[in-house]
Amino acid sequence: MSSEKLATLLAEGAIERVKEDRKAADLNLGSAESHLRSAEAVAADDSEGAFVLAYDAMRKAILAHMQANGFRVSARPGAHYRTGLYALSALDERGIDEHLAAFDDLRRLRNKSEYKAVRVEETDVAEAVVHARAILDAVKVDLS
Amino acid sequence: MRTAAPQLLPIFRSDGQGRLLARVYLGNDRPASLAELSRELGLDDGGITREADRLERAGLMRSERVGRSRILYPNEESPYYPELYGLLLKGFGPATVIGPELGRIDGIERAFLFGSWAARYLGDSGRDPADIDVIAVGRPSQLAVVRVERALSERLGREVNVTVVAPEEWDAAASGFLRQVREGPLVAVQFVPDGEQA
Repeated sequence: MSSEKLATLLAEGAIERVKEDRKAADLNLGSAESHLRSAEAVAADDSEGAFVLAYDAMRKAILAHMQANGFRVSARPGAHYRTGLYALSALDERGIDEHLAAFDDLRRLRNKSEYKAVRVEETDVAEAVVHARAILDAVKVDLS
Repeated sequence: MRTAAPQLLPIFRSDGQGRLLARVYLGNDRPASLAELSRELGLDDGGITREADRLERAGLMRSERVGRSRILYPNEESPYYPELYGLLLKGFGPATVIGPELGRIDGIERAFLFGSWAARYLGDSGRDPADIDVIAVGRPSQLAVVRVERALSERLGREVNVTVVAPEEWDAAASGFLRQVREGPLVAVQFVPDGEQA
């Protein structure tokens, strides 16, 4: 974990210090696992739904990492974007930079599919699942 | 600034000179200092200063001092301004930069600039438009499109929005939006730079 990068995010007000909450972290890790399984199960029938599940699996895995380490994103617009910034800083030593960078692409596509009538394809879901799995596994290793 | 002549438009002294002119002319809404331009364009400080001096002496650019910074602007009073603007737009502008990136995505058959940037290419004068609107015809991975949007937005310093349309929808102009796009200004995006074989 790069404490220097996290210190910058704290100084910029992107994230805040809170009490560590391992119980909440474990709950979020559990729901990230379920979301990821569900995403794979419904991908063929409902690519939009599966994509949102895979995205949320990724987001909750990062959230779990924050909770276990005593951080949260500040409560103003752009919280999901800052969740991605946290992940890039906190998980930068796990060798999953490509997957972490993809989180922001998934976030943007999720917004587009919600507001701009963009159809998410099954190939997008397949890619999202790969990224989510990599991030979830890295968070689990980091918290073990 | 000993960069090679620009491939697409080899009439400038160097690619660096072309890109400096393009950044100053096409990014007039985001004026920048010499130091910022040198960082942004990856050109060395000494070279960019000499180039700016040369272009200013020729009356193609002007600069203003703000504290210790020298901010560069296009000289809109120059008799060459309209034509030079057009050359830079075609040689270094969005359609040129966007093409190769979009061309790398599987499943995109054709792409067009539409909206205000397209109007600009077709000679409409006025304020430089902010967002760059692109229609991509095909069935690409949406994540690949989002990734390219992000890279292009960073590179061009403007929001690039790519709307994907299935070929049959495009051909049939299947919605009010598509009819409007097709009737408005359109500039085809070249996937392969001029002079290269597809």
